Amino acid sequence: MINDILRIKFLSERDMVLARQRAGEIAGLMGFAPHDQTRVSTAVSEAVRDCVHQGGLDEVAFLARDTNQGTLLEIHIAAPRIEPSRLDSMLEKAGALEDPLLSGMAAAKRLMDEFVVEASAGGGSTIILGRYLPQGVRCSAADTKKIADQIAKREPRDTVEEMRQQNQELVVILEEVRKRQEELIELNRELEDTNRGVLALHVELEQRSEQLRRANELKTRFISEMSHEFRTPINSILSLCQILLARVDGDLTSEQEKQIGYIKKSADDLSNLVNDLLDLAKIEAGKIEVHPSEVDIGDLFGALKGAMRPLMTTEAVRLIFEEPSGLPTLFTDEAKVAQILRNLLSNAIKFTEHGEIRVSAAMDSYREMIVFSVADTGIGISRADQEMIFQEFIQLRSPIQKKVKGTGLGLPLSRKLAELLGGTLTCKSREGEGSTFLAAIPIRYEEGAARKQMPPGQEERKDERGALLVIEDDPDQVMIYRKFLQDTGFRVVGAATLSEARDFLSRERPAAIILDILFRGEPDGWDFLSELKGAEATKDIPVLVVTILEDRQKGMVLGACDFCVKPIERADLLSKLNKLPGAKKLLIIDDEEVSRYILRGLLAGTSYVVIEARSGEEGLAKAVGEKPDVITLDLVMPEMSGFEVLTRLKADPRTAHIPVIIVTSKILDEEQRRELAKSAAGVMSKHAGSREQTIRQLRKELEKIAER
Amino acid sequence: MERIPILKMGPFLLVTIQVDMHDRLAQTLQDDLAERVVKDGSRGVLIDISSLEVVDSFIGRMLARIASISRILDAETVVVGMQPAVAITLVELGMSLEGVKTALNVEKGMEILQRSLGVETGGDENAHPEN
Repeated sequence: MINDILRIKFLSERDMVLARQRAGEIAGLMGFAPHDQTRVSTAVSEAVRDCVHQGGLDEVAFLARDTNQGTLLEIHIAAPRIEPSRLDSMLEKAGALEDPLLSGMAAAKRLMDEFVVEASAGGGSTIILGRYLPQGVRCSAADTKKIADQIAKREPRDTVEEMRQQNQELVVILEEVRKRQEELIELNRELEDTNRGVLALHVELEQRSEQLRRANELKTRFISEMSHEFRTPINSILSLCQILLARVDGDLTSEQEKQIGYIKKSADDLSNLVNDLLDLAKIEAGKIEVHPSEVDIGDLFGALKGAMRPLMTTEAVRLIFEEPSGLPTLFTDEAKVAQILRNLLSNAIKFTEHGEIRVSAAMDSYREMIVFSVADTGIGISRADQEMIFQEFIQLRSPIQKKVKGTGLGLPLSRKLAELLGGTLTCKSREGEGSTFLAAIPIRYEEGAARKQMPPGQEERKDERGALLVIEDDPDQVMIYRKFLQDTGFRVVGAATLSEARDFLSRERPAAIILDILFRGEPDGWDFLSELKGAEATKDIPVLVVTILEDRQKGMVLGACDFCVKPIERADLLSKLNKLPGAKKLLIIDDEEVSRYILRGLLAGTSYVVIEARSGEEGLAKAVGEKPDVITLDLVMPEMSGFEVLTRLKADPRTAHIPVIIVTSKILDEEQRRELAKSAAGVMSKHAGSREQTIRQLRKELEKIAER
Repeated sequence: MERIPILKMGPFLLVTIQVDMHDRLAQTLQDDLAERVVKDGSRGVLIDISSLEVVDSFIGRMLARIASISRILDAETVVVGMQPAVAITLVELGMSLEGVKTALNVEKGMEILQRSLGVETGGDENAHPEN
């Protein structure tokens, strides 16, 4: 064991005195006899002097080493500029005792027990002098420490020495400072290296994120493109099936009907899969919109019950909807809530072979949410799998799973929809005991701050073609009109008196008015007709006069657009209503024959005369030549895209005024939508559930144009 | 400049080394003494080293050199008060301080000097009566 006692930095020759003095003092403190102290002191003096003369020394260090021969006082003299070989040659003189030129080294060697010259690592030598404490005297580590402290505190003998001592201390401190500085520099360098590494990492991260962003963009674009590719043929199949099933082109044999039914079923399944995928992609891209409205939970359950009944194929499972009571009306997107519950229910039905499926709703007043619960007694889901099922395309292995089909998208989509509405979708389940899915939906959807007002009228809003105001005092006649106009897109609003009619007109602008002239006990309809035609707000509403009076001329003069005498036939009424705004030309610009065919079919019952163009170029020519009132335009076409056609139509003064309805199955992004909204009158998706829906949408668009 | 003081005591010079001399100081002392011996016409130099705990080969040789120089300049040198440990060490070093007279203390050293003075001058009146 070695213990440091003192280190003396060697600055000048005078430090030789200090070194030998300290050597004596240390020796004394350690327990050396007085003559030994002098011996040690002298030896140090001799060795140090030689070093001074031979090239200098840096440091004299005093240490105590424990050996089995007792404690050894070691003095290490660091002489970095003296080669060991030189010292060796000086030692050779040790033989000549009386030589007055006896070297100090030789003298020191003679005085000490140990004398070693070592080559230092950094060049030069270290001379180690050693002297053992006398037998029986030991110097422990604690003693050494005490000695070191005492030496350090030693009062200098005079001012010169004090200065020297302070100098010494300063030098030691300076040395330490230098070392610290070096350490700091080293640390700084390391930090710089690290910093460089971090920067490199940062750059790499940025590159990665850029790659990811690009990949995501690519994915979105792919989906958008594929949607068009997928949806167009699927929609064509569906539409054609519907046309066939509607016997538009003649009757079908029962076999054919069955086959077409199968085709339609398959196309529907495919369409659902594509839609689910698209919904998922749209939610991810933040493109799906929430349309909040008042939702009554009882009504929602009622609708679901109807929708789910066909799926219940076995008697062994009962589907129970618990009657909601005391729950508030939700303000959220009904379609999306229904979609979530439909998904959950169809899953429950799939995986439950016997028992019951219970649907209920409860209030969570703390979170201000309604928690819908769909609990089944089916196969259940193990704890480990409970989060997995919410991942896309994950289907668990089970004997039932093999029997039932699914896309694996239902639950992830439902969860995303629930989250979109601000809620959550969670699952509680035990294997073999059934599962309970909980969809928590906020009572009020937060984003839609602008709450839609419910219309004040109690009439059912079933259709989009607009209200048809029937001013007729005979309720039976109104009833007949209602029947006639069922499923035509008109919403029949009856007004038994003129004041009722005025009341309605002040609230809403009907698409058309059917006016009776003779009223019991009221001024006749002629005055009302002139009143309508005289007022700025109502003069453009087409009025169909249907009365028992045969005064067609008067009616037309007063501004009615048509005149019928009671009793009126349904076909007659419809054709007159269809013709109300006057016959119009509609130009279809679409490269796909199927699409044109379907559209033409849709427009067959309307007042529009259809012209077709197979390409953008042809479309532009026909738009000029035929002067259509409306143009429907497909966006994705070879040669000239719909976007370009639209731009050119709007640039040509002859065609700029013609409203254009975009009919496309392309998924539009926000920017494209905005761009189109500037110049197109409307945008309509080729994809629509049923023929009726498509007709309705097209009519709505046409009506919007007619209203301008 | 740092110097060891040299005191004149009649025909003698007295040097009491009370600090541990570094080599240059020792060298200076040697030069100073030579000069003073000549200047004062001193006949003896008494060097008291009782305070010195270390006399290494350099100082040993310096003392020997002072003695030689003084002798040439007709002055006797006596080193007094050497500590026993110093003496042991000097012997171990193989230094016998040849040509240097030694005495145990200043008193004895002065006696030596005065005696040598008396011997040299024969019947000098200034000589100690006991001589």
